[in-house]
Amino acid sequence: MGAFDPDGGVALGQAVGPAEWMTLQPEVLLSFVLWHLALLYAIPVVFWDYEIAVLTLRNRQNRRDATADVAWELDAVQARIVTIDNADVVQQTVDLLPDELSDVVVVAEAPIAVDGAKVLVVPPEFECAATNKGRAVEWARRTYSTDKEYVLYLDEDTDASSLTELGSNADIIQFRERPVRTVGLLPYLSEIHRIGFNVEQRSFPFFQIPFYAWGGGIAIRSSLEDAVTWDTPTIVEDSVFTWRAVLEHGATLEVADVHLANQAPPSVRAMIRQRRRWLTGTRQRHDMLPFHYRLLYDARDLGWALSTISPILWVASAASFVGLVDVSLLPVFFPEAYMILTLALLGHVYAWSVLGLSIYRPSVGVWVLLLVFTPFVVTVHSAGALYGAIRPAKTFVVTEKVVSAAGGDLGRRGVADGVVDASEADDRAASAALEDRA
Amino acid sequence: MTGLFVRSRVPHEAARDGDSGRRVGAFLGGGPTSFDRADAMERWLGVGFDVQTVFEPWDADPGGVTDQFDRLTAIWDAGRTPLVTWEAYTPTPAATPVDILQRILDGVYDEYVDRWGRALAEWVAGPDGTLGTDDDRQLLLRPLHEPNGDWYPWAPAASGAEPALYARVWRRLHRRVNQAGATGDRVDWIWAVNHVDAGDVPAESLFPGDDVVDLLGVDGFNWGATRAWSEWQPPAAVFGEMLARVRSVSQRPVCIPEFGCTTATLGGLDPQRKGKWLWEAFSHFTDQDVVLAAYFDVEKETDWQVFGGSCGANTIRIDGTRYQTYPGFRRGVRTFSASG
Repeated sequence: MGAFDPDGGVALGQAVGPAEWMTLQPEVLLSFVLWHLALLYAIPVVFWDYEIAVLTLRNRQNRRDATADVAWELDAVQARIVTIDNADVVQQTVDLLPDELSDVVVVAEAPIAVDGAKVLVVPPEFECAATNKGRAVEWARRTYSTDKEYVLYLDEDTDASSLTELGSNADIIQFRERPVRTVGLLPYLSEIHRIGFNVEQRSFPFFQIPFYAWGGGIAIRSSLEDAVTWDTPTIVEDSVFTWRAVLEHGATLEVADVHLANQAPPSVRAMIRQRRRWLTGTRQRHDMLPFHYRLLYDARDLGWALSTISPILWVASAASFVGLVDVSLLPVFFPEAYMILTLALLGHVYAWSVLGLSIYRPSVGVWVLLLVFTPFVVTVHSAGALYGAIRPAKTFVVTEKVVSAAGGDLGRRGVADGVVDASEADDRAASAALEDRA
Repeated sequence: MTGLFVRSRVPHEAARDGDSGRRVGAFLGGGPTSFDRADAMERWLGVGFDVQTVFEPWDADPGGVTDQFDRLTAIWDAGRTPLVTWEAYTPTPAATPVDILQRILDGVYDEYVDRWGRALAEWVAGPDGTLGTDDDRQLLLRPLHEPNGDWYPWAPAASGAEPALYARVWRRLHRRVNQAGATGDRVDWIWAVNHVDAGDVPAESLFPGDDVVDLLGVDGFNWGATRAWSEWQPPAAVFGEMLARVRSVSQRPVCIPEFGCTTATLGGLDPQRKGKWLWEAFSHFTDQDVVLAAYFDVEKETDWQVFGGSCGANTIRIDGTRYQTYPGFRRGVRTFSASG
């Protein structure tokens, strides 16, 4: 322990301050940076472990309690699909809905024709506190009431054909997601990795406040929707709605173990923008959360953002540990402890990849690719968070979705043609376009 | 497991801490199945019923009285306060004399009434048999209900009795039951009228007096297009006028011991419209400062049921059993209970 070489500079016991140590000893500075990077990332990792522990304990308790089997049939659901004007993609989404789900509404920014659904066009003159998607769904809520118990919100490209019921009586039912590859391989691998991490979602019902509401779809009790409304400014509507519902109305949440498919971002750039929006959106509104939640959020966000640069360091530790290389990154301060910690962190990110792969069950090639490139995938996956932390997104940029060339097999194959990536436009252009529509 | 970040296991119990003082109940039929239905319905609603309504005839058989109070104990043990509709049937409608009011006044049923009063006092005192202790029970008692109609033998419009006779009989019942055994403030007497006078006896003429009534009640139903004489009525039209009338005779709190709505409209069955009516009814009750609303959840004359009936807007499956439901009812219950 404390393998600091006194011959390299300041002798042990010599009276110097920390600043002088760092100036005189670059190794000390490096050690500080390394330890801080590792510890910051350790916070979300340890909390993830805590979530899984809570989930495991609660599941055991629930099994002991033999809780009742409660489910809503699909006649209790109105599906709402939100789009700007992507009629072809929406039509495919509507076609894939189960037949029992007969009440289908499309909320669009422009007149489009969709068979099997009622199309509601948001009038340009409509104004409220919400913007973008929030504004559209708020208008639909105000003008098109429903007698259905639940409103199920789907993205324009969601494949909900696996939906057979709502297996819960919670106020908010979050469906898990299964992003499918469109074009880019790296975003696809990143999504598999993310879905592995997102197993934490299953513990959210046991927490005072869910950390986010990202998923394949979200069903909201219509009475709760009317009580909470979407009328608040945010670029992460579902998460902020869920926070308000829980904080102001004591709403209950369940995470349905049903994966609804939607498209993975088509490019790394699009994915970075998406992550940037998520991080920015939650940080913009997390002031509504209790203090201890804000603290945890800050730590999670920081850890996530910094994991853009951390994996290479963990790999270096691992390589050094197994004797592949002699990486002298650990000159001072508990190198063994640092080694153990970074190996544990690296183990976690591999565990998330394996979890994601076990959910996806892709081809052997994808298994190999993700396992080989997991550290790099983590870096790419986190780049948007780092971007968002440094330069928060100012507006909601929509990544347009594509129609499956197979005409109905959305979600089960890659699509090479016709990808339109709104990330080609910069924030200002996208904002202007949205304002024009308004 | 509850701690930092982790929520309590039953969130709706915490919500009940902010008690609005409003109570919700239902009549779910008789027999053991009513308990299963109540449990399933509570799972649907996400809140427990405060009150469960029962209809009990005047059964002179001593075993009959014991059985009645055993049923009430089961309701109490399930966490609900019984609302006993004490029907002066002896014990069936066919066996009930048309001059039942006069006979009660003449003391013909005193023995039964006294025995029932003693059983009530014992029941209220709880398992330890002592009133004023922690295990005391509570009961809502609704004798001789809907006297301004013409379908019950205790209604002057049906029997031809003088309205004043009804009030005298009520007061006699109140006195004898209280003399039979002390119940303290654990029994609330509900004087409940129909939402319209059926016959020539106005409800106001039947009020027994503030000293023998704790709650004023108005029963009302939207019969829709089920009868030649009926039409679809919004809740305010069903209840508004009679609520004002009963308030004109007393300042006691008001409740709705029975209410219901059909799906039958002139255009056919309309579950969506019924759902909207139910939601509006609870809103109306809130506006009218109603302290208790108890739904009549049995398919009797028409499809009154809101849970597991022949009609409904949405389907919920609980432990494998499918129940038709109306979101408007659930929304109404939750809002009514929470508003204060």
